[in-house]
Amino acid sequence: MHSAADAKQTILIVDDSAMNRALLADMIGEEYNIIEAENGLEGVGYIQTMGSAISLVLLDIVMPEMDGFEVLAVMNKNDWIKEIPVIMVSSEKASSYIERAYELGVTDFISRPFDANIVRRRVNNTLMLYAKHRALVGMVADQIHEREKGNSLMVAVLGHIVEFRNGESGMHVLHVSTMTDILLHQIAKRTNQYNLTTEQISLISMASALHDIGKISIPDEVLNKPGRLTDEEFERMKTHTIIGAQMLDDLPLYQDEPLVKVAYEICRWHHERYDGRGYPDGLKGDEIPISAQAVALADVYDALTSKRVYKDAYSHEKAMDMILNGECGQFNPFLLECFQECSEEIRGQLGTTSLTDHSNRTVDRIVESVARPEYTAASSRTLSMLEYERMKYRFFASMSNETQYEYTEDPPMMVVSDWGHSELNSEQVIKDPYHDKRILEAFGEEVLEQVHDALRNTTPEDPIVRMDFEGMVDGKMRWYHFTAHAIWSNDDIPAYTGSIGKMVDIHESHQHMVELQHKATHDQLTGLTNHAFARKTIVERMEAHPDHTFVFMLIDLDNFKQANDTWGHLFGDQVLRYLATQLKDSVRDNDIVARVGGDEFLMCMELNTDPRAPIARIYDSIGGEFEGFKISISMGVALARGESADYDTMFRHADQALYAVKRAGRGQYAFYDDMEDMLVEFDVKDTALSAIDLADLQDEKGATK
Amino acid sequence: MSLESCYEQFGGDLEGVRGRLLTDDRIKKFMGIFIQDTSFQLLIDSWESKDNAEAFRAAHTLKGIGRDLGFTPLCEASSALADALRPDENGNPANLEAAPALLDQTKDAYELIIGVISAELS
Repeated sequence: MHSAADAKQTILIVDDSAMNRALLADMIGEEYNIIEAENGLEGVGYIQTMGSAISLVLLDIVMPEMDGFEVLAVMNKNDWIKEIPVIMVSSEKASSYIERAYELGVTDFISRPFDANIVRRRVNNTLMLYAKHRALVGMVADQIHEREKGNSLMVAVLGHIVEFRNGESGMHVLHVSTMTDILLHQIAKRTNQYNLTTEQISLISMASALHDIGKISIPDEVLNKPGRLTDEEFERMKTHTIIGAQMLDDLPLYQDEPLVKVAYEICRWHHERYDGRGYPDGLKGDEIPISAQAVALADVYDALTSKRVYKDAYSHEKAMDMILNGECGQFNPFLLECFQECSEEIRGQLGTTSLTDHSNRTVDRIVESVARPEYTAASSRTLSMLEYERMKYRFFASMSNETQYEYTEDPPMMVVSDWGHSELNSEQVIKDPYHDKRILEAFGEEVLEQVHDALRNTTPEDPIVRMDFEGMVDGKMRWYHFTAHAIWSNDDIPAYTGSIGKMVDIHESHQHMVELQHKATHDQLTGLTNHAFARKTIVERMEAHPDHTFVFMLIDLDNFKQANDTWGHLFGDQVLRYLATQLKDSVRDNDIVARVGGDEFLMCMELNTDPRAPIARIYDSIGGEFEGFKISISMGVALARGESADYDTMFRHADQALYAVKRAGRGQYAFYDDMEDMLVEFDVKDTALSAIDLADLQDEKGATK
Repeated sequence: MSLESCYEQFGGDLEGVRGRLLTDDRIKKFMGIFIQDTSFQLLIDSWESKDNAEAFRAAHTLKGIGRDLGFTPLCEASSALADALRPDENGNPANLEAAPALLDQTKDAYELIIGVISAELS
């Protein structure tokens, strides 16, 4: 436990006037660590990030952004008001204000003018009160925790042993323990006769786990016999009480431990009956310790309501009847009265008991009895763990260059991690972030809407949202990867209450991806689309719009081989780049221009009008000279209309048209449609792409002749 | 600087302030801070830009400071001004007509105090 003495306590002053903050800080003095917030929103931000590391809040009422009452409302909503005391400071003297402040849970109210003595005394009193209270809750919780740890372990171990040995469910020990606990609390409520303190009860319920420990030495064939036991076997079975007690007696150490003493009573006498007809010692009435009496009743009840090798489970009502009618031996009439009074609780608890519930229930109960009832929500142990988690979280957040945030829907408010708010150049606490100017500037309305919708469309089972988007940081657009977890309430109909998440700068790796993608889809020499990617894009477009008209233009650069041979390959490359630029300039941005072979290019566009005029214009725009080399192209054009046209067919048609053009002497263009009849005579192999080299070869031969 | 002479000149409540702030050093320290406090300027600016809510807050702050430091005339004037500007349920000032006169009073009180403190400080 962290105590009040080992460090300066931190006091948060929330007031919009710097002068007031200075005055209060001066009066409170140097033995405290002072944090100042200039409006309610900033104050809430501090409380959210620091939690109960803040020992006290001095809160003004009239403030911009979020006033004092709104701060109190948020503190109530998040249960902070239970852990962090608030003193209201104000020059408002209206009793309605003061009343409202107290209703919202403030501990004290200091009105203006500030009096140094009063301020100091009120602050000290409040801190003392809360420190004492926290220490008390902490001490109790720690004690219980220590004990419960042992208890849970013991219950677990014994549960396993019992389970292992006689096929009873491990829940039996747990049920007996739970029910003993409930019974004894009921008894303690009714009478002081048995001196049952909360601690004593906790001890007995824990020790009850050991009641059948002696069964470890009973042979299997007796312990797990499905049928009725013979007299001899029953005598053997009965010895588990004495053996269990003996085991505890034989413990070399811990003889003086109260736990061991109580466990001894329980082991030995949990089969005694009030009328003296039980075993092993035939004790009567209150000669039987109350611990053993309670465990005996719990043992019988759980045995009745559980399935055993020799019987089915009885209902709660049936078991109650059997016990009250004395069918399982006589019990203390007073104990039976208590049993009846808390039977519903027993039925409920045994139905739901689990190991953690058990510990929590005991902690709850004890904390409740020593502390103010409303303080059971969180012990200081939990709080210090929470503080530790926050510290860890902040540390990792600062290491990772991630922007982390917590967002609540009501009030709409976002707290951004240290690194994040310097990265975003935003406030650390952002009110209504979906409409915040800075956030809107950074990400734009569309992205925020996407995030908003994605989070709301999650479910409690699948609350994670992941997306990549661009954000404007320091005047530059950068890519971010965003991961968030939507928070849904535990209500029957879950409500979306906010989200937590982080945003990581992935700009470099994203750029790298983009570059790789570009490399994979583009021709390195000309920067045009490559054939594979052009094909993919065109197929997609044709499938998306089967009713549109697509124009395929397959282009071959005339006399390219000659350029290469005469001026070298470097020059050839330059010519290709030059042509690529001309081709690109001849069509619209959205049209496809691809390099599909050494000096072959494909262009594809959608046209709604008669293509002849535009095609002529495109063809005419290509030409001129590049450093003495005359640019001239041959072009085959094919038109795809309707669904019968697929990419490969169209490509082949354009190719055949191009071939025909080249055969006819180059430097022109032709439509496949115009030459269909003529083309029939060509072999299918005689297409431009397969025959060009051959044609060039023949040219060469012709030239050398 | 003599606190007695200061408070006498602007009609402040020195006895009360001494009772609350305990030491003359603290009183002097906060008189020094008061000179630099921007609440008055905020009051004037927001009044001129017709931001009544902000003007109310500034008057309210002045009233608090005035009370803390025993600047009785300033406290009284700004208190009356704050009441006139206090937003009602609909967010409108309670008594806007009364505000200009009260603003002048506040201004006079403020300037008197600032004048005295500056003179004493120099």
